[in-house]
Amino acid sequence: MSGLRRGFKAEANDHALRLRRELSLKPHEPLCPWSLATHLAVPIVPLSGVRRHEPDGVKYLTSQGKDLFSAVTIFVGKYGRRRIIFHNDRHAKTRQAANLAHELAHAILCHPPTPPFIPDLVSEEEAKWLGPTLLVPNEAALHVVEMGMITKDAATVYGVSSPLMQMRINVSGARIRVQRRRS
Amino acid sequence: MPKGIFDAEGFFAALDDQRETRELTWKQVADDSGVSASTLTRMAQGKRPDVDSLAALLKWSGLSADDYIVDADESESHSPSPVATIAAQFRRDKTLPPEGKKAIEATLKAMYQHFSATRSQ
Repeated sequence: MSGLRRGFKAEANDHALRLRRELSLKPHEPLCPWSLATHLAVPIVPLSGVRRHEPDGVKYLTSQGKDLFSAVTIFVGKYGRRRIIFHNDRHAKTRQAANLAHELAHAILCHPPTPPFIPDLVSEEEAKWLGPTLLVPNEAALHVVEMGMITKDAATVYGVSSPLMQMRINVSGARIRVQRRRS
Repeated sequence: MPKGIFDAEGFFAALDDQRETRELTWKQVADDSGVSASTLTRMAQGKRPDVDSLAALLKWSGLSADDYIVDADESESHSPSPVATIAAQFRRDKTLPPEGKKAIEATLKAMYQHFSATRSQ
């Protein structure tokens, strides 16, 4: 996760906490990315929902090419700034949540569109950090460790994969903070 | 007489121009104006901001709200910009094989054509 500008990680956690306040959630509570999308007025469209518009492409991306496509944001409207997120609903729910959180991170940071297949590396790095942080902010990671939850159970509670939960526990320094409090 | 409405998308686009001119991040715009990131995101989606946020953004930008009052009919009849037809953000987990790229391109084109048409109706 190199390349993030100084202070970005703290800003990302601030975003996660502020959005929870706006949704009347406590800092450590799970955040549903579908609810967040509604709050941000960003439409979410599952790939299966556009099957009739492009049967062959959708069939490929939901079968043998399932792992090749996670999600995409397209821009419409008079100024080309209004977003619609399409995502692969053949993936596990936890992966869908991570995919949506990633695309919503782009929206929260107001990242501009890029040409297909040519991502902006700085924007991608920021979304890669903010997406998981939205789902499991530092306060949630701390809560999980304080409560003594095993990673798998915590992942279920937060609607994320175990690797994502483990990563957020690790990078938040939650275990060290709890150990210091108890020593 | 046509009803006038506030063109939030147009206002957001003008703010973005100012942001780029001043070489600021959106985070700095939010901090300087006191308007939340979610309000800015919702504006980009065409949602009108609350009065306090609008006042703060007008003050920050020096823009005039009058310039963004448009006929309700006009705001619904616009067509997408050419830039938007090719603009997208992708997530890719691995290097795409040619058939995967072809499928994504075809699907993206179909999605764009359908949803931009739906939204301009």
